[in-house]
Amino acid sequence: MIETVELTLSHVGLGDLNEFALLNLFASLQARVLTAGTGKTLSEIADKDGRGLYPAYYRTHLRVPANRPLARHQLWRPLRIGLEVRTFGRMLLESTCVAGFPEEVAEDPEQWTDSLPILDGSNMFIVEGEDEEQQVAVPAAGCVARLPSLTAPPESMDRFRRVRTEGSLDPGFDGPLRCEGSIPYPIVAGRDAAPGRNMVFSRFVEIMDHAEWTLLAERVRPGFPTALVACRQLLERETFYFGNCRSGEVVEAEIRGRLVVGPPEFHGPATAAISVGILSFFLELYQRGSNMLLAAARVRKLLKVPTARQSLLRDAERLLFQYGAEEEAAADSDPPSEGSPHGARTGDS
Amino acid sequence: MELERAIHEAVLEVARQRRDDLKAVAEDQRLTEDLGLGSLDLAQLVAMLEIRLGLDPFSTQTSVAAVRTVGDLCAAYRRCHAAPVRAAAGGSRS
Repeated sequence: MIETVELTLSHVGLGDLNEFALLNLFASLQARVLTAGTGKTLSEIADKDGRGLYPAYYRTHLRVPANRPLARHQLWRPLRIGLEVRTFGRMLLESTCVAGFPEEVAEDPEQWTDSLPILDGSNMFIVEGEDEEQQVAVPAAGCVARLPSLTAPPESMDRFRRVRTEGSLDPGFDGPLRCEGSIPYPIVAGRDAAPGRNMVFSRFVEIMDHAEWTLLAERVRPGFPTALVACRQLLERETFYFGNCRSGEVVEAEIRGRLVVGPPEFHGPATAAISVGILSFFLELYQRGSNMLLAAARVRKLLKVPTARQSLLRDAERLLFQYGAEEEAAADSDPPSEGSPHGARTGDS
Repeated sequence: MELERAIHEAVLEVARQRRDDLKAVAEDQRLTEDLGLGSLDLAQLVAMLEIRLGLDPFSTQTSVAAVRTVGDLCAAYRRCHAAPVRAAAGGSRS
């Protein structure tokens, strides 16, 4: 399914497209794909006993090309989103979503490449209101649209099991950007979650960004100038979701990272900005009190400084000297080559 | 017996992803408590059986939550085999 939406205040406020907004747009489009032609809405999907089901995310993986930042898509401008959803059995979903300008997104998913922002998502149908132990269930006949199916288990399942067991996407990671103790994030009713409801999965991005900001600007010593922290641009985020929180609860973020010298590269018109390095982070989010693991993620961001801000460039050089490494380890990046087809999709029929 | 064997094989295959020392499964073993299957494992198991057997007992006949043991799972598929509800949700299948 392809949709063109105008980015409005309800999507991006007064800003440009960001990760949180893109995840919400993706989930909304996925809801329409799942119920297309059924006469139902997502909230009407139920199992044979009438229990409400929802497609809980257990993994998302967003990749954004360095030369195609999300912020290129601005308020009141059209954004085209393509989404393909496949099923494995009747309880598991694998989705691929691509976003771009209207002329960039092809109708045929086989032509989608990671030269545009591309997002993979994995879901399973869960019974509503079962917070202690998630309970999977099969949607009743006629609740979900007929979708293309996979004939082999998606790779995301094995990765989910491994991360769940190890508790991290890289338990052995030992970067110099780290702090004593965790970084708390209180879940506020209205801001982070509707009263009495879990957070929407995209809210985890905000929690992770808060932890990142706090680590760089407040916890590491010497700290990063806040103006430099604002120069981060998302390249990749892979998140595995294990639990959730409600308002009044507190999420504790464990975070560590490193800064790697990147090849200097100019961006924008008239060499408006230059990339000076790549920040890599590993995060684990826990629920305060219960110590339940809620999510684990890895993130890569470009540190891209406006060339007009020479003082910031000097600061970036200083921090690269203090924290930087010469090259990025392959283990935590491993991005597919730009322009490669999105489908490493074993078992597609 | 064919049906039971296919189900036991599928259960073993999924359970081995968590316990690679497992040699066989028995009818009275509980999927969660004894074999350690989580939500995602159960979803995978049901998907594999749907593809291998072409049967879907869980959209109209039985709740996944009602299946506690390997024997319960076999019984669900036996009932479905007797009064088949063919898997219908997926589109093209190869």
